[in-house]
Amino acid sequence: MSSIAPQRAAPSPSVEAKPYRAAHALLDALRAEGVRFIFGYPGGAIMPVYDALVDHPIRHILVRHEQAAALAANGYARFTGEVGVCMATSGPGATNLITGIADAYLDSVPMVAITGQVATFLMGTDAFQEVDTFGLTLPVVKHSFIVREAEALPAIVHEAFRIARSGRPGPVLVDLPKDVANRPIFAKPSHPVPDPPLPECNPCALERARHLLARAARPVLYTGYGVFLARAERALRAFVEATRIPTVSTLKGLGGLPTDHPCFLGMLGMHGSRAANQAVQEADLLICVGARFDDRATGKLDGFAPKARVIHIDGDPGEISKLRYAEVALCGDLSRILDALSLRPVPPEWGRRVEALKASDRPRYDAPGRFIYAPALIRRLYERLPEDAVVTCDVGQHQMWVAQHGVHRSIRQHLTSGGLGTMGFGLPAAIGVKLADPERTVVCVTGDGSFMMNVQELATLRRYGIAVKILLLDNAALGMVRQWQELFHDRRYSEVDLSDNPDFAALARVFGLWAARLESRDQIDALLQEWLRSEGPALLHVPIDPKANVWPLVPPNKANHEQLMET
Amino acid sequence: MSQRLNFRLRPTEGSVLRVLGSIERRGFSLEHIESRRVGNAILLSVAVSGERPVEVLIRQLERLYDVLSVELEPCPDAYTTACLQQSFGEPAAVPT
Ligand SMILES: Cc1ncc(C[n+]2csc(CCOP(=O)(O)OP(=O)(O)O)c2C)c(N)n1
Ligand SMILES: [Mg+2]
Repeated sequence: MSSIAPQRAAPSPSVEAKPYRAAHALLDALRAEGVRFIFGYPGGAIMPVYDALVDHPIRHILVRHEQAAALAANGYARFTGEVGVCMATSGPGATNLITGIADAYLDSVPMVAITGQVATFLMGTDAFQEVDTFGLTLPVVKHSFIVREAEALPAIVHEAFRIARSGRPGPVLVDLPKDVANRPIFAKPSHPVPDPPLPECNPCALERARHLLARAARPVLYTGYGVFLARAERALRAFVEATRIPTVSTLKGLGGLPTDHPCFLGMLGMHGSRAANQAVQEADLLICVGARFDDRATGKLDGFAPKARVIHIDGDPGEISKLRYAEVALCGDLSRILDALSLRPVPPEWGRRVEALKASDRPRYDAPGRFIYAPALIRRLYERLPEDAVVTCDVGQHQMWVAQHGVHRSIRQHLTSGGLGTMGFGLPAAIGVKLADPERTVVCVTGDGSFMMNVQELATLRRYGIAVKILLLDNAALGMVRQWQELFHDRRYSEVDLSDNPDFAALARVFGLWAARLESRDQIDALLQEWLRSEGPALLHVPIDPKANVWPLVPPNKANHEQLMET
Repeated sequence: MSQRLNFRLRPTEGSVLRVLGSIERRGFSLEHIESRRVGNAILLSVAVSGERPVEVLIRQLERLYDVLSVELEPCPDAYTTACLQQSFGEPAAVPT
């Protein structure tokens, strides 16, 4: 597999003689922030920046659709914890970015999106490729800037990065009019200053939390992505080791406590495990760590943890008592709070009860029939993957099977679009991860519907020789929607059939990937191995049972303990 | 019943829009709005009404970059306020 990464011209001495323009200052400012990659796509209004790129050392990755630029930056940021950067032109370039920006907003991912804009004197005149990018993105960004003064650009970029990564991270938009980008400037990049430390947590609240913990007979820990944001995996694990409190996780929190840990009961919520949902149902104290009582996690809110008092530990005060009243709110640094809480071990009766719940809820992988059974395949995949592999998912049934049956060892090893549920997330996100860490095994588990949403990025894999391994679970359907139509719409199937899918392996080969089709159970081990060991990007196409559903399932508007099991 | 929120905002592009939009998206109605530029800040006063606790809205608005400060004018719903203060460890007496 040859990489055809374009060659860059070496910076020439004559560059010094040209005036230093805002476009160039933008790139220098990005570098000063430690940016390694810009994921982007050029066009008219952003041309000054692309011109400056020609002799700039920063690396630009040309994707084939701006949505993928935003999602690749998003995946890069989720994996590294650094700010991801994407760039597009005005108008359609900017609108194409929005899905990836919204995804970052709902999942608290630090990102800076740079968009070209028509020249300031044309703004507001319905000029060619003018849309109000600032207005369009207002509800899905943490903050946004229109750069009206060239001299302000370096400081704006610096501030954008600070905002994106501080507190609860999120995307920041920098909209750059073309004339401003072309202006000569004198400002130098400003240098990063460390963020102020988080305030100390209120000692009275801490004392009340200790009191509740000491008295609890049936405590349960409910953990989320906030554990990753606060870099608190170590403290969480130490807390669980000390207390043995049974732990459940949100979709995005999976791996905070390794999912093969004895105290881990599974994901909670709509497709959560029975043990997890039942433990929460019986709990008398719920300790929420970096989670936000999302409706997919809680089910019908007034039936959620009905007997429990709540201690809510979070870095973001805006989440406290938003959906569920917290008897105690602990805002601040999660690690310090968890370290300060560690107390006595969980009462033995509760320990035994939870063990019994867990023992009666082991998934089975011995499905009858000749079809490949997706949960068993996912299990097998994880047995074969290196321990530090990263898996990105798309959205649908396959996403839930990965969540349920994968072994998640840390949060950043399982990248999934939780808040927005963006079909098409998986492949670009995997590109971001693999570029960040080329030595890692990076797998994208996708569905036949989701894969087609950003299929054009196969060209990006080839162009840069990005060795992402794609596992395509093909049920010839928009399976998750089909499942809902089957269960909740009287089997009135509406626009979910994809049985005329292309031959995915052939399609991948056209883009220069290694590809194969896995058709029978006896091929699983050999083909998984060949696919993982192949050089360069590779796709394994796996037709699965088109009727398979995800179990368990909490029906809409029901409480979590009313979940349906497979019959 | 409406409650009045008084903001000091950075005088940045879109700051008023951002605050008003956030209030509406969080499920509150805007009953009355006044805004003016004073020195290096925008003073914005908004009367809002809604079913959800306004204290949570305030914390959501406080995290906006443009919001330098936000204050709730003395609020008749003392019970909710006291409960929420207590959950943060403030020594507020919960009226019974
Ligand atoms: C961009 C986008 N459009 C629509 C949806 C709604 N949706 C959720 S899951 C799903 C089906 C996904 O199909 P596929 O990728 O084949 O996964 P499967 O459920 O079959 O495993 C759809 C259409 C979505 N989440 N994202
Ligand atoms: Mg499908």
